[in-house]
Amino acid sequence: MSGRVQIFVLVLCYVVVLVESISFMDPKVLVVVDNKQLYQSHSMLFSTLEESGYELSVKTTQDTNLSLTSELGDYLFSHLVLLCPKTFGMTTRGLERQDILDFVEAGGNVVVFANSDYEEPTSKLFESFGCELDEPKSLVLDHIHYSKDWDSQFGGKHTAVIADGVCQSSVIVGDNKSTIIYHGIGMGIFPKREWIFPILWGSPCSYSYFPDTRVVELPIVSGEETVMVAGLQSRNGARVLLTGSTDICANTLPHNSAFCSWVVRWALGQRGMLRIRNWRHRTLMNQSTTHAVSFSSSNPTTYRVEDEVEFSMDMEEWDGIERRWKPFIAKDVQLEFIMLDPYIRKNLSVTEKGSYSTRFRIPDRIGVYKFSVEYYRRGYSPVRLSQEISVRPFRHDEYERFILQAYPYYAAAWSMLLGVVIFGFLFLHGKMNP
Amino acid sequence: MTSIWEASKQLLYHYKNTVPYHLKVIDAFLLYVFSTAAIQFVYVLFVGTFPFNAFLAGFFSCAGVFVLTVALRMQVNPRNQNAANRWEKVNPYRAYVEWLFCNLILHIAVINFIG
Repeated sequence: MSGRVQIFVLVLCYVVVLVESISFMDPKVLVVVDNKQLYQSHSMLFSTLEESGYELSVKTTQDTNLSLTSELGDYLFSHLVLLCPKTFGMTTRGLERQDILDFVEAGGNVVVFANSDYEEPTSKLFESFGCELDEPKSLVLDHIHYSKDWDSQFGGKHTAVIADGVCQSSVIVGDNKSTIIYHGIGMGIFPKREWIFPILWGSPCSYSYFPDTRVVELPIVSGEETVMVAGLQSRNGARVLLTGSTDICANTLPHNSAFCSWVVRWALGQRGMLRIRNWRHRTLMNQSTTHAVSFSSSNPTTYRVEDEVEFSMDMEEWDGIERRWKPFIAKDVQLEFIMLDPYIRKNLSVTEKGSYSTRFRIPDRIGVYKFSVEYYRRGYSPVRLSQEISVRPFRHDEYERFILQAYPYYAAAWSMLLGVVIFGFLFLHGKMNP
Repeated sequence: MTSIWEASKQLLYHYKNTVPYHLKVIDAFLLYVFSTAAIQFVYVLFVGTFPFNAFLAGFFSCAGVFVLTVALRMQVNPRNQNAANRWEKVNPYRAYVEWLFCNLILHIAVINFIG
């Protein structure tokens, strides 16, 4: 009876998981803004998103039905853009910090903008992703690397900073070459966080402080630790983009529009989402006597020690513009053959069609192994694959026979046998007493 | 030095004259078995132990035949046929059949093990 209940609960859990997981291929985006003016001031960014196929639902924080889920608990959106630093968590009923964390947990992508007028719930949200905002009203300052053209527009206090460091991953920032001007809050990334990383950061002489006051305390962040845009690639494939500035993507800074659209579209899963398809492994029955190579059936669960094995798989990357999976080609994908430690670690060679393969010899050690491919690269969704297989010893009739260097031993054994026969005959019938 | 030379000459002289002929035949066979084992041992030092089961089978077949034949020699030696020995009343034919039977078992094991 209890067994049935357990099975029922398991099935129920599975159904719940199925319902809750969000597909990043779904183009529905919820955009939440403080007010309509903020939407209009970012219209260039949003029109770029709509051109690349996203369906935006724009709501202000004063709207009543802000929930991400329907009444049954299904997610209505797969992406969320929060452009509401002032009122997030204050008037957004049904869209609290925990709702957003659950959304990310279920695989949804989130883009969060803050600015110097943010309220506490926004900083709490940043903190739950591993990122600390400087205090309200503070700004990133840089008295050397500031943009002379744009500084006057922001009050002439050297707060239109030229962002010095850009993440080197082309999948995130594209091939953008223009300088990026940043006017906003500085952020710091908490130490020992593996999944959050800076995308845009300041020059060595930038710091974050209140612009009109003398610096009397050590700034929270300074130098290259002054993070302006941070990204988080979670283990379930969800992405979070955090920035301390609403102006960075505003229409007033057309310099940044290329960078902005690249990063936001990365965060919404248009690039860098990987998957492994069609993976298989098999033995190459390579007899040492005959040179004919024949293939066994695919994906056996047992191999023999010293078998020649071929492992192959296809890797694909989602192309959000053409809306289809395309071959993914990288030269640094590795296969591991693990029994507690990796006994084999080999680079997979790749063809132009994105199919990877390698051959190796199973080590001379019996046990339970697993094939494992783990590909974690900045900007790409993590891909993992593992399958257990067991490795058995030689069967009694699989050992090699009639080895050349063993012929003296065979001769010795046969000569002993013959010697015994001849000596025995002589001993019995020979003339022993001459 | 001369004394060792003299002693070995004496030993050889007495061996030729006092040891019965059938024991001399056994000794010749033992010498042959021993040299076969020695050749294999030298061979394994040069070539390595790769077909180790074959080496063990070849070497132990020599060792086994040697031990069994020594046992046979002890039983058929007329000097051992006295009251101080267990083999006082042992029939030499029975000793021979036992030797043959043990050899049979030894070689079944050897052929099975040699691969």
